[in-house]
Amino acid sequence: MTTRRLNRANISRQLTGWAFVSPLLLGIGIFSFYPLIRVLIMGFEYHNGFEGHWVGLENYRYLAEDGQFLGALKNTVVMGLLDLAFGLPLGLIVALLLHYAPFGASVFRSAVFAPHVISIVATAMAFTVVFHPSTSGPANQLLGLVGLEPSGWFADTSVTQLSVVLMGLWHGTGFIALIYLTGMQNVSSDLLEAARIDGANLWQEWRHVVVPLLRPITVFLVVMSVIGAFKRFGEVFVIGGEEGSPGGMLDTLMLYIYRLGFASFQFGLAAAASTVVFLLILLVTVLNLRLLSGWARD
Amino acid sequence: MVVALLCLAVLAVAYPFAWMISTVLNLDASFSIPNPFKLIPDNVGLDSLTATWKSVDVPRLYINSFVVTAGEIVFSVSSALLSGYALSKIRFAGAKIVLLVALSTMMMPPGAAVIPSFMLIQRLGLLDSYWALWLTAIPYVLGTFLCKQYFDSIPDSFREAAQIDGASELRIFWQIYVPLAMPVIATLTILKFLGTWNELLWPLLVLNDPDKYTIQVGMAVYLSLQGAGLPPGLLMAAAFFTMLPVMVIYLFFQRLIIETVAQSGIRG
Repeated sequence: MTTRRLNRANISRQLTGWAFVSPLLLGIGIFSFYPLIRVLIMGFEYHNGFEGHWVGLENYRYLAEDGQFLGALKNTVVMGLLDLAFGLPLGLIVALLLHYAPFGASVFRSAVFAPHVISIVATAMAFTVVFHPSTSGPANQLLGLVGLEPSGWFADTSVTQLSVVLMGLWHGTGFIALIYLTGMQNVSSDLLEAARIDGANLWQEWRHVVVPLLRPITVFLVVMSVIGAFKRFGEVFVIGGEEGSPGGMLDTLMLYIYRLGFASFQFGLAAAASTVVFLLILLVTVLNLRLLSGWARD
Repeated sequence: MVVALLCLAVLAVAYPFAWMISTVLNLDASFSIPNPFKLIPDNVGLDSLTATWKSVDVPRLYINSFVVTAGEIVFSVSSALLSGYALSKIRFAGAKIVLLVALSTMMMPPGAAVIPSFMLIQRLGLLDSYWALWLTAIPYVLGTFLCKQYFDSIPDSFREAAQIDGASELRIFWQIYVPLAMPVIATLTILKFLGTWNELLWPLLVLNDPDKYTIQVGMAVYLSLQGAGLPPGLLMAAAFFTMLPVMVIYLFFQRLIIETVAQSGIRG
C-alpha cells in the first residue's frame, strides 16, 4: 500500500518535472535543433524556398568559386580580427583605469558603458553623420585638431572597414571593459595580500595573480567577439545597404546569406553559406575552449 | 592621470551624442548638408524631429516594439522560470540530461540557421505575426541556467512543507518560489529587453507589413529606402528616436543594468 502510493507520487513527480521543462524542450527542438539540422541538409540541396532536390556538393563548389562569397568571407574575417586587435586591449585599458580610479568610478563606468545599450541600427545612423566625409564633418574636425588630413571614412574604400571597426569600438568597448573590471574585482583580496606579504610589487602582483585569473574572461570575450563578427549584419545593412557598399567592402557573410535567401531565393546556396559560418564559429569556440583547458592544467 | 584618461574616454563616448543633439537641432542640417558642420548651430529648430516624426510613424513603431518586447519577455522568462525550477527542485529522472541538451544549444551560433527558421515560420503561417517572435523566444537557455542557479540557492524546505499541506507543484512554484525569485526575474527582464528591443535581423525577416515593423526594422527600412543621401539632421533624428526609449531606461536603471550585464556575462 505504502509502496504503491510512493510509486504513484514518484510517477507524478516525474511527469510534473517533464511538464515544467516541456516549453523549453519543445522550443529547443523546434527552433534550435530542427533549423540547424535542416540547414546542414539544405546545404546539399537546390532549394528555392518551396521545393528542393539533392545536388550533392554543388552549392559548396559554387561558393568556393564565387567572388562575392569569398569577398564576404574575407571582409568578415578582416573586420573580426580588427575588432579583436583593438577591442580587447582598449577594453582592458579602460577596465584598468576604472579599477584604479581614485573617485567617481561608478559614474565613469556608467558613461563608458552607455553606448552598448544603444542598438547597432541607431549607432550606424548616427555615425553616418559623425563620419561625414566632408572636410568639416564631426570626426574630420577631430582629425584637424591633431593636424591630420580629413578622411572619407565609410565612403573611402581603403578605410571603410576600419571605420566600421572604430564605430564598433565606440559601441562595444564599454562592455569589454565592464567584463574585465568585474573579473578584476572578483580577484580575491586574500590572494593579493598573500602575494604582497611574499614581497610582490604591483607589477608582479598583476603578472602572476591577476592576469592568469583574467584568462578565462579573455577567452569568453574572444568567443563573444568572434560570434559577433560572424553575425555582423545591422550596421553594414544600414551603412552599405544590401550590397555592402561602397565597393562591396561591407559585404559580410550574414549580408550575403540575407541577399541569397531573401533577394534571389537561392535558399540552398544560402544554407551552404550558413553551414560554413556555423563550422567556422564552432572551430573558433572549440579552439578557445581547448586553449582555456590547456591553461587550466598549467 | 587616471582621471584625466577616463575623462578623455568619456569625451570620446560623448562626442557623437553631442553631435547628435547639435545636428538634430541644426536647421541648416534638416534639408541639406551644412557647410561647414558646426557643433553650435547658427539656426536652431525642431524641423528634423517633426519631419522624421511625420515621415516615419514613430509612435506606431514604438507601440509595436513594446508589444514585441513585452511578449518576448513574458514567454522567455516564464519558460526559463518553469524549467529552472524543475531542474533545481523537482529533480526528475533525466533532469541532468535536459540541462546538458539545453546548454549545448548555447554553442550553436545564433543566425546560422535563419534560413530554415524563416521557412519554418512561413510554413506555420506565422509570417507577419508577432507569434513568430514570441514563440521563438521560448527556448531561453541562459535564462533557464540563471533561474536554476537562483532556485538552487533557495532551500527545499518550503516545497517540502507545502507538499505535506497538500499543495500542488504548480501552486508551490507560483505562490512560493516565483515571488522569491524576483531578483532573477528582474535580471532576465533587463537582458531580454535590451536584446529584443535592439534586434534587427529576425524581425526584419518575419515582418513584411510596414504596420507591424518594430522601431529597428522601421528605421533600417526607412534608411534603405531613402539611401544614405538623407540630410544629416534627418539621419540624426532617426538615430535619436531609435535610441531614446533605451537611453531613458538606462538613465533610470543604469546601476541595475550594468550589474546585470556584468554578472550574467561572467557566469554565462
